[in-house]
This record gives sequence, C-alpha cells and structure tokens, in this order.
Amino acid sequence: MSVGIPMFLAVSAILFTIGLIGVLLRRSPLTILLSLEIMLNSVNLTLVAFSRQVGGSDGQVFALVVMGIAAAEVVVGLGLVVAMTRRSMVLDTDELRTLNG
Amino acid sequence: MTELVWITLALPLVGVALLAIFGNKLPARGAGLLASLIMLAAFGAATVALILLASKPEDQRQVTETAWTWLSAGDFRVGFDIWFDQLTALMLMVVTGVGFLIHVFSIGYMKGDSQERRFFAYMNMFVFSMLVLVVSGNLVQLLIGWGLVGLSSYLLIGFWHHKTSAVKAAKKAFIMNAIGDVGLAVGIFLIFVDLGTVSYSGVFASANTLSETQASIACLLLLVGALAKSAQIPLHTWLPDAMEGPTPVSALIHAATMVTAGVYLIARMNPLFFYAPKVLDLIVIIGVVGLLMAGAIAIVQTDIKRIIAFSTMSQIAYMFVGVGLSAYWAGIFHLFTHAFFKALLFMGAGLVIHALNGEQDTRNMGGLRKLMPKTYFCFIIGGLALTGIFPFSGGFSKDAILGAGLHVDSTIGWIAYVGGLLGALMTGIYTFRLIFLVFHRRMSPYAEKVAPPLIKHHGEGPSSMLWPVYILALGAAFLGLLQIPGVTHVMSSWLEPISPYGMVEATAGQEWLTTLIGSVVGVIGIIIAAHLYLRENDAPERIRLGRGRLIAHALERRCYWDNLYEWMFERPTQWAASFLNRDVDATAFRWLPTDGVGTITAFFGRSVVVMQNGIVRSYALVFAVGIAGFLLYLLVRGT
Amino acid sequence: MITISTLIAVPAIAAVVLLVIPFARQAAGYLALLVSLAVLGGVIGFIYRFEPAAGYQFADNVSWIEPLGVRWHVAVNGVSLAMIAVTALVTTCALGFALWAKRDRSHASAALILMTEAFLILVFAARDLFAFYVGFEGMLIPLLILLVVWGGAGRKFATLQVIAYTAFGTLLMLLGILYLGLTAPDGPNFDMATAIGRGNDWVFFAFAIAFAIKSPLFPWHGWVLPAYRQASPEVAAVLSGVASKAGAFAFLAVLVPLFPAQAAKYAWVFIALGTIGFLWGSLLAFRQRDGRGVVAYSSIAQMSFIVLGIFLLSDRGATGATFQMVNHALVSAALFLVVGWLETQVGSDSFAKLGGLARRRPVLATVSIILGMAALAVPGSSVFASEFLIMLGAFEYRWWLGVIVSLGVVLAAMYMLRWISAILHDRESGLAGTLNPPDLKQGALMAILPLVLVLIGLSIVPAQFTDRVDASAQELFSAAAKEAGR
Repeated sequence: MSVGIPMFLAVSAILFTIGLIGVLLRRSPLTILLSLEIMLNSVNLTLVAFSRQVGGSDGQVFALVVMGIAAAEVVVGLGLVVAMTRRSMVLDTDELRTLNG
Repeated sequence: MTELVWITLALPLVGVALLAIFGNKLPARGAGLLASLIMLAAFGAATVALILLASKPEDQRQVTETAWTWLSAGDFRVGFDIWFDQLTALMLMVVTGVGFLIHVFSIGYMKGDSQERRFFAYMNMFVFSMLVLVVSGNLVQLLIGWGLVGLSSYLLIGFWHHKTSAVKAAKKAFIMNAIGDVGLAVGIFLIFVDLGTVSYSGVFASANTLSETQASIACLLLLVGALAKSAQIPLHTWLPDAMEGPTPVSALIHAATMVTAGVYLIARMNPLFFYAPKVLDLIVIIGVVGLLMAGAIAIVQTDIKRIIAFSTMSQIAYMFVGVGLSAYWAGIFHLFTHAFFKALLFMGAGLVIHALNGEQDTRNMGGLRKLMPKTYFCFIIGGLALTGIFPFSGGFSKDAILGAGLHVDSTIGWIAYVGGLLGALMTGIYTFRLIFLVFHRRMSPYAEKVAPPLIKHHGEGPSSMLWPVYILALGAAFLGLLQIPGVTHVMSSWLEPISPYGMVEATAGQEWLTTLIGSVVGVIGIIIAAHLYLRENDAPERIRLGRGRLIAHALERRCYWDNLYEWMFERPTQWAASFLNRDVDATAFRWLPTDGVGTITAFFGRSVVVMQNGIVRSYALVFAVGIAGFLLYLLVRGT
Repeated sequence: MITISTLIAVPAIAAVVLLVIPFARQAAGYLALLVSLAVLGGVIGFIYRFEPAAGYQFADNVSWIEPLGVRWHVAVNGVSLAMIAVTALVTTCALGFALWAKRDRSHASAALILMTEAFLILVFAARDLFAFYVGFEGMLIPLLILLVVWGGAGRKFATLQVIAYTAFGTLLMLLGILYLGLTAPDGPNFDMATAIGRGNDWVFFAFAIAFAIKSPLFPWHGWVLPAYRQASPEVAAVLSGVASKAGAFAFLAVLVPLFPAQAAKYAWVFIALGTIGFLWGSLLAFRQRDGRGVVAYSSIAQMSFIVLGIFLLSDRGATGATFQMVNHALVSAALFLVVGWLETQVGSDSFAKLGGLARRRPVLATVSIILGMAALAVPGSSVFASEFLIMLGAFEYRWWLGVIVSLGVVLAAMYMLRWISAILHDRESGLAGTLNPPDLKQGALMAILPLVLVLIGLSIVPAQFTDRVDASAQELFSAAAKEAGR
C-alpha cells in the first residue's frame, strides 16, 4: 500500500471536523444536514479503512448500514425542510426555538 | 385531734364551694356572714386542737397523718398529709383567728361592692391555701400550698379587674412568686435526689447525712422561695404594688399570713438549715439590709397603704433575722405579734380610707384626730407596738430577736443587733410620721369636704369594722405579756421542741437591756418624727430638695429595684420573644419548610432552565464538547 | 370477649352510616354524640377491668394480609388505654361543641370526627406496624377534610402546609416500616414484637422524624400554626388535643421499645430538642396577639416538654410524660373550645379587640381562670403533678437541665396570665363592649365542662392515674434504659 492507514484516518478526521464545524456554525437546516452527511461519510471511510487493515468484512458491512440509515435520516430532514418552506417559515435554526424552557 | 385539723382545713374549702355554687342566690351580706362563720368555726376547731395538743406531754406533741397518696412514680411518693406540732398549731390560730377578724371587717368594708360574693369566695380560698401550706407534712404539699397561696393572692390583688394598675400588680406578684416557686421546686428535687424522700420526717431524720455544700445549696434554693413569698430582697418588688388590692386583702395576705410563709418555711425546716450555717448568716444579712432599706423607703412614701407595706417588708426582715440567728421562736413570736399590730394598722388605714371615700394619699389627709378618735387611739396602739415601745407586744418580740443577736456575740450577731436598733429608730420615724400626717396637723381641703359628712352619717365605721379593730388592738397591746423576759416564757417554751438542735435565747439580763435601748431608740424616732411632722413644717421639703436630694430621689424610686429588673429581665425577654417570633421562627420554621422549599426549588430551577434555550446548535455544541471531553479523559487515562 | 377492635369499629361504622344515610340536621349530631358517649362508656369499662401489671390486654390478633405477613393485632397497655380514654372524652366534647355550633352539613362533619376517632384509637392500640401506619396516616384524611371544608379564611393554605409537611415525614416512616417488616427473620412479619432491636440508625431516624413532625417537636413545629388557627374550634381541639398525642405516644410506645439501642444512644438529641422547643414555644407564646396563637405555641412547648420527658428514659420521665399527655390533651382541647366560643360570640380572638369580659360573666371567668391556671401548672393541679415528675426526672438526669426546664414554668405563667388578662380584665373595650356577649352557658358549657371536671378530679388524686400507668410505662422504656446503663 502506497497510502497507509494513517493517511485514511487523517482524511477521515479532517472530514469529520469539517462536518462538525458545519453543524455547529451553520444555521440553515439544509446546510446542517449536509454537514451531518459529511460527518457520516467520514466515519464510513474510517470503518472501511480499518476493515481493510484488520481483514474481515465487519467494517464494510457496518458502513453500508450507516449509509442506509443516513439516507433515511436525510429523507426525514428534507421532508421537514419542505414542510417548513411550504409554511413560509424562516429556514434558520436559531429562530426555531419554541421548545425552550 | 387530727380530725379537728382536717376539719379546720376543710372548712374554708367548703366555704368556697358553697359560695361558688350558691353565691348568687345568697343576699349580699349573706356571703360575708357565711364566710366569716366558717372562719369562726375553723378558728374554734384550731383552738380546740391546740388545747388538745397542749394537754399532751411535751415530747409527744408532734402528730402526723396521711389521708391519701397524692402522687407516685417509682420510689417517689407524695401523700396528702398533715404534720401537727406546736408551730403548726400556733400558725393555725394566727391564720384562722386574724383571718376571722379580717373577714368580719370585710363585711363592712366591701359593702356595696357588686362583687362581694366573689371576694369572700376568694378570701376563703386563700385561707384554705394557707392552711394547706401550714399543715403540710411534706415538701411537695408545701409547694402546692405555696402555689395556691400565690394564685389566691393574684385573684385578690387583681380583684378590681377593671383597673389596669391592679391587674398589672397582680401579674407582677404572681410571676415573682412563680420564680420563688421554681427555687423551691429545684430545692425539692435536690433534696429528693440526695435524701430519697420529701416528707418532713424523712428529711429531718436523714439531714445529717448531707455534706455542708449539699445542705447549703438545698437551703439556698428553699430560701429563694421564702424570699419571693415574704417579699424580701431581691424578690420584694411586688409587695408595694400589691396594695392595689382591697385593704382587707392587704391586711390578711400582706401582713398577717402569706408574707410570713417564708419565715414559717425556714422555721419549719430548721433541722435542715442547721447544717447550712452560712445560709443562715446570709439570711441575717438579707434581713438587716432589708429592714434598713424598707424602713428608709417607708419614710418618704405618701400613700398610706404603701407606708404600711414597706413597714411590713421591714418587719418581716426582722423575722428573717430572728430565724437566721437560729432564734426560731423569736422570729415566730414576732410573726405572731406582727399579725396583730400590722393587721390593726391596715384595718385602721381601711377605716380612714373609707371615711375619706377612697382617698389613700396622705397629702390629702390630716387633722382626723378629732373626727375619728377611736381609729386614732387604735393607730397609736398599733404604732407603739410596731415601734417596739415597752410594754407593747411588738417590743417584746422585736427585742427577743435583737437580744438573740446580742447573745450570740458574733459578727453576725452584732450586725443584727446594731442594724435592728437602727431599724427601730427608722420605724419610729415612719410610723409616727404616718400618724401625724393623717391625724394631726391641718385638715386638707379634700378631707374637710369629704370626711365630716361621711362620719356624721356613718360614724367612724359600722361595728363590723370597729370590733375586729378593737380586738386586734387588745392583742397588740397585751400579747407581749406572753414572753416577759425572766418572768413568763410561754412562747419560747412552747416552740422550743420544734428545733431538735436547740434554739438561741438571750438571758433575761440581755433581754431587759435590749428592751431598754430599743424603747429609747424608738422614742427618739418618735421625737424626730414629731419635730418634722407634728405641725406644719417645711423642714422635710427643704431636706428633700436640698441636702437630701439624692437619697430622697433614690428612696422615692424605691432604690431603683424596679428599674433594675425591667432592664435585666423584662426588656430582654420581650426583645428575645419578639425577635425569635418575627425573624427566626417566622422564617426558619414556618416559611422555610413549606413555602421556602417551593421557592428555593423554583429558584434553582429557574437558574438551570437558561440552558434550555431551544436552539439546536447549542445543544449540538454541548454534545460535541461533552464527547470530546470524555475522549480526552480516556486518552489521558490510558485505557 | 370484647376487644379493642370494638372501640375502633363502632365509630367507624357510625361514621359511614352518617355519611350515607341522610339524617335530619340535628339528628345526625345527636346520633354522633350518642355513639361517642357509647365509646366513652366502653373505655370506662375497659379501664375498670384493666390490670396495671399485666402488660398488653384486650388483644385481637388475626391474620389480615397473608402474603405480606400483616396481621390485625391490637392490644392496649396502661399508656395506650389512657390515650384512648382521653381520645374518647375529647371527641365527645368536640362533637358536643359542633352540635351546639350548628355546623352546616353537620352529618358530614360529625361523621368525619367519628372517623378520626376510629383511626386514633387504632393508632393507640395497634401492635402491628402496618395497622399502626394505617391509623397514623388514616387519621389525617378526615382531619384534612374537616380543615379544608369547615376552616377559617386561610384554610386552603393551612391544609396544603399540613399535607406537604406530614407527607414527607410519613414517607420516611413508610420506608422504615417496609424495611422492618420485609426483613423479618421468618418471612415478612410486621408485628411490633418481632421488630424489636432489629432496626439500624437510619430506620430509627426515619421513624423519629415522622413522629417529630406529628407531635410536633421543635424544629418541625411550623406546620401546626396555620392549622390550629384556621381549623374550626372542635377540630382544633381534636388536632391539638389528641392527634398531636399520636406523635408523642409513638415516641414512647413505638420508637423507644423498638429501637432501645438507638434510643439510648441518641436520647440526648431529643432531650436537647425538647428543651429548646419548650423554651422556644413558651417564649413565642408570650408574643402572640391572638388567643389561638397563645394556645398553639403553648401546645408546641408542651409537646416538646413531653418528648423531653420520654427520652429521659426513667420512671419519672415516662410516667410524667404519659400523665402530661393526658393533662395537656384536656387543657388544650378545653382552651381551644373556649377561644372558639369567644370567636362565635365576638367574631374575633384578637387581643386588641377583646378585654373586660369578666364583668357579668362569672362562668366564663371561672372556667378561663381554672384552665389558665391549669395550663401554667399551678401547684396542686394535675398538670403540676406531671410537670413536676418530668422536671424531677430532668433534674435527676442532669441538675442543670432541671433548672433550665423549671425556668420555663415561669414563662408559662407569663403568657397564660397575659392570655387571661387579655380576655377577662381591664375595661370592657372593643368588641366586648359593643356586642355584649352572654355568659358561657348551655351547649358550649356542656362541651367544656367534662374536660374541666376531669382535670379537677385528676388534680385531687393524680395517684389514681399514675398507679395504673406506672407499670406499663416502665415496660416501654426499660430496654432502652438498660442500654443507656441505668
């Protein structure tokens, strides 16, 4: 292997951080969902990399499961965004805080 | 014979019951007559009991009997007993005899008062309480009588309960007596813990097992009770205020009986006090200080009853000196004579007050000699007896006490002797100041207006008021003959057996010497009083405003005792109670556990709820920080 | 063989009957009074047949809840019988007063009072922890209903206070009971006899706090004040007269026998709290400006004093405390009825508005003075006898404790004299003058008189009481006293 495991992990870490920053700093629900996707994919990368290193297919199978769940979650999230747009609500998570104490 | 004692005890109680239940069906005079008849019957029973006791040989004159067990818990037993000996018999005679005379006097004095029946019920109740105290055969029953006497005193002082001053005086008397009760109670606890018994026979028999400290503390505590009841320093401030009650009350309770209970207590417990000589010395000191202070204050009082009240305090101090010197018989002898001449003086004062339609201030009196000759005559007799001039009774008894001081010949004895003579001087001054202010000099405008018509109409008083006074005057004049030094010793020989360790008695020579000096000193006092007060004279005023300013001020404020107590006790208690009530209890114990818990919980809730702002991003941040922290922790810890 | 269960069943059944069957107004009241008189008669019968030295008598011991090992076990000894007697008497007087006062929905109020009586007798007679709990908790239900429906202006707040405070305590006790019952050596068993000595410090305090709140013992006394002030007079009489005794009784008859080691070890805590409470209550009573306040704080002081007596773990203390419980129940109930009567006649119990009532009202004056003097333990009264015993016990424990406690008696004199004067003395100002109420007589007097007469009777021969109760009281504290080395 010309590219070693550490490289994969580094890329994965960077991706995760980018995704995390996106979730924390962006206000639009769409962007948050996007960032979440990035985070999930970085985790997938890690899983596959380790599976390759350790041998066995557990990591790859889990990565597939994660993808499925990510897809489902995106569907729900986008459905919420569509519903909000339909009602002409502001797409800003900071404004949506009626569930406060 | 003991049945007679039970009868004597029960009769006043029956009186109270009858008056309480059937009182309002009786005509007004009926209540007084009933009460007086009961007293007469009680006196009769007491006399017969005394005679029966006297007919026994001397060493058998101590009879005890228990009616029923009053209280018991484990090895602690208190019975309802009587202890009938020479001292008890004498006290019974004084209480029922003088009590009877005062009841009769009250029939006239209280006539017209709408609450007459209640008065006589209370009077009988008082007599019952006093008898319980006197015949008791154990300390707890003594305490019960003690407390009931305090209760009766409260009811009688505050008899005219629409008068705020009377109610206040009654409360003050009760509370000071309650303090005395506490001292007595703690003394009883101590005695029980040390000796295992509270009955007189038990205590007397085992008193010798006590160490001096134990005996001294116990006697000191008993002394606290005695001081409160007998209005001696430092628990004396209630007595002058107690004059708010009707005059017969002052005569009975605050001259003849209740206030003498302290003297009785010490005399009765003499086998115990024998083992606490230092306490006995203390009693003498308190007595001497008391008799001088009270005598001095009496000189400046303007209210006729208060002069006599301070005189009472002073005379009881003499009795304390007597018992403190272990001359128990002398103290009791003075108690006996004092009952007569002091009640006489009070009742005489009552006649004057009656004739002046309720006026008690001596500055509104004067010149009554011509209008009230009989009263005047009795006052003179009483005054001479009080001052202790030979051959009146007061002289013999007082000189018996002073003679004992001389006989003992110790520092304490000499303090007693000199102090007592000084006191006799003062007694002469204040007594005859009183007589001169009331009966001599010019009549005040008020007296001129009020007295002559009243006296023309009723005479000096109805016979129900005059005859008791005459009888008391006879007693005041002649009872001294019971104990002429070297000639008759009825008192000393009668009372001697009550003290197993012996009593102090002066020799005949010492007695006659004391009598001589005492009478001379008394006469000097009378002369001083005459010089200052017999005629219109501005010398007293000049002294009061001039050189004697400071002393006069102190005496008029009764030596600042009331002020002291107000600052030491009343105000701190009130402040503490208010503070605790308003600030501490209200918040800590009432608000805090109920409202408080709710409020505090809500406060914390409100502080925390800020975190729940509804913004998803912040929640995410918290997640992220938390997980990062946890991972860091794992990393640092090393797995 | 008639057992104590009869005394519990009769008022309970009568209560249900009164609630269900619609009687005419006054008829319900009279019926209730009749029932309580019957209970009183029953109690007198029991007293007559009671043998002082024979331990627990008139017992009933049947299985109740099999799987949990709960039994219906009721029996009485001298102490419990005394408390049951006073319960019966106070309930009768309370019902008499309620009848005179013509409460609306009187059948309900009478029924609830009877129900309270039933639960109270259960508390005093229970020998099974579960039954005890039922009584202890159960008595609150009718009392709270009585408070919230027939109470004064601030009754809702008062009721909430009572619930909140006592619920906390009882929860603790429930945990303790469950622990003791379920950890019994031979399978679940809630009988008190098997619980002796098995508890640990936590369980001890769980019970102790519950009883302390009920009594009330300083510093858990805050909840009684709104309750005593807002309740109708007869309910206040039952509350302060008997319900509070349930707490103190529990200390003596449940806590001390079941936890001898802990009782001995921690006795000083309760002695200290009792002393502080006694002085505290007396001092604060002196500052109250209404009749009910004075009686309420006096009650707090007395209950603390009783707990003090109990934890002296001595003859004097236990017998004195038992006697004081009876005396205080009588005095306190009578005082609340008198103040209550004043309220009905004059509309207020505030001292500022009273005064001068002694004129032309000799019965009121006499009764007030007798009760006032009894409350301050004038020597010769039964209250004096019981207080003297406790003070002697305190002195025997530590001499300085005896002195401190004795000084509290002076405070009692101060506040009671103030109470008497505020009502009876001085000029007829305020409401007394304008409304000119009549003297205390008829119904109200008949309700108060039995209490006064029993007090007087006990004052003449207190030994009649103490002799019967002494042996039982001894049994209760003997184990703990042994642990304490006495």
